[in-house]
Amino acid sequence: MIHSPSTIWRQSKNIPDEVGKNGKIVSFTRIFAAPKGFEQQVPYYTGIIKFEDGTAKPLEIIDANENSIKIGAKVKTVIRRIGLSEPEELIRYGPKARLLK
Amino acid sequence: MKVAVTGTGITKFGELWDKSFANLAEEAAGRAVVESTVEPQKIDAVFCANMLSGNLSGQNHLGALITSILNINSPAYTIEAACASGGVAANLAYQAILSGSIKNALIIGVEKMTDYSTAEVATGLMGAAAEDERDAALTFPGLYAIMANAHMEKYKTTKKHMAAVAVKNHRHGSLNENAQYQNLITIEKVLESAPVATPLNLFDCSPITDGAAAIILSAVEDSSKKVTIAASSVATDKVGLAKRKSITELLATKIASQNAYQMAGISEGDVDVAEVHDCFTIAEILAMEDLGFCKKGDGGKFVSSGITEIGAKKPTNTSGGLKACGHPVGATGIKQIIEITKQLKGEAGKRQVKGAKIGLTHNVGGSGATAAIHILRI
Repeated sequence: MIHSPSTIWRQSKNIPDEVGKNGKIVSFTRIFAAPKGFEQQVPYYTGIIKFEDGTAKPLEIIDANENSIKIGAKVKTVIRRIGLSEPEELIRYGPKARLLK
Repeated sequence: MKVAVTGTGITKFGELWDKSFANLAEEAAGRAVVESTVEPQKIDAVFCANMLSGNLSGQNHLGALITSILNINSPAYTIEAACASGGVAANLAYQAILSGSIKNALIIGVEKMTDYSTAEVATGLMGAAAEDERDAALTFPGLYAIMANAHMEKYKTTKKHMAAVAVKNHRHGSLNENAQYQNLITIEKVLESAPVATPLNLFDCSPITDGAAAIILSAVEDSSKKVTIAASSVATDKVGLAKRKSITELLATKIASQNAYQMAGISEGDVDVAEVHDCFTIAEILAMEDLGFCKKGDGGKFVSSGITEIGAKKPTNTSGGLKACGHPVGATGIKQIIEITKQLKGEAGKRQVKGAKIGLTHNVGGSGATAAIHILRI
């Protein structure tokens, strides 16, 4: 699916509020069969993160491996590129959850 | 007045490369009309359940496509509620008949999926999820894997418990000539299959399937020897998992089933046979708990005990379920109603549940944002 420039512009406005947030992993999975745009990342971790303010959000989880990732582990949000853009699409950025050591 | 299932028609489920969307629709609808005593001209409305046609093939306007095939001019509607499209379409038709404005309705679910790549289908199916879930690179197996992981952590459910669902549903599928997979599998085979989204392996997942299923629902005065709809109920919940109260239960299933039991005047213990939405093995475990067949958290042990086999106390997914019979998304909810109708009429052949009088269908959309329950009785 092509994201229009206006969709990306609208989503990007929220990025400052979404970076640097602390949270914990509620549950996660390691994906081996990816949707379009994410095939090159396989396998990767993604899951539900609960933040200190009580809200929860699904996010990709980065800097994680089989031994370090677990339910309840602490994460901090950072900005990364989201998937691989189509040639006629803007590059999309958004939050991902980085596993804290 | 009661609403009865007066005709059923189903195609083979599977990779049907020689059949188009229209071929499948014509086959299922034609069989339902032939089995029923209702003439095509007496079909007052057509309800077509489908999720992916517009997305994958570019074909929309499916209601009129079906009436074109049947060569009738009745009003026609297309219903989309992700994987629950079939159950929701049946609910809408049931209400239209109860309102008195129509007497006979054809409800048809059709899906043509195998012409497209796995990534295309996976992306299409994610249309049933929330935007932030797509941005988190999630897939449908991934969403159910997140629920499975949480269930394993909270209730000590194991991968072996989940594998038992797949083994049982393949055993049932081996008795169904229309099932996509009619081969037997073992717990070891499930556990050794390739990972799709941990903890779910390939054999924990329902397949990509072509197929169509159609029923005719009619207003009847004399319901003796007829399979009637005792309850039809739909409930919804938050589309995104992160917004839900709990990710180890499907609230929509709990609400819809409680409403349905009340409408039918029965309790879960009265259900003789059930078709539940096992898009992934964990989904059947959640269904057992949320339908009240066992206590919350006991689903893993419940399905592993053999109690859901044909011949045991709570036969579940006698068709082979989504896992072995296949999951042509829009057709699944209608297939479930057909399977229960055959069971209640004693026409289920090798997979017949002896003396079944009350049956239940449970059809889920997305990761649980829609649930449609039907209770049928004879």
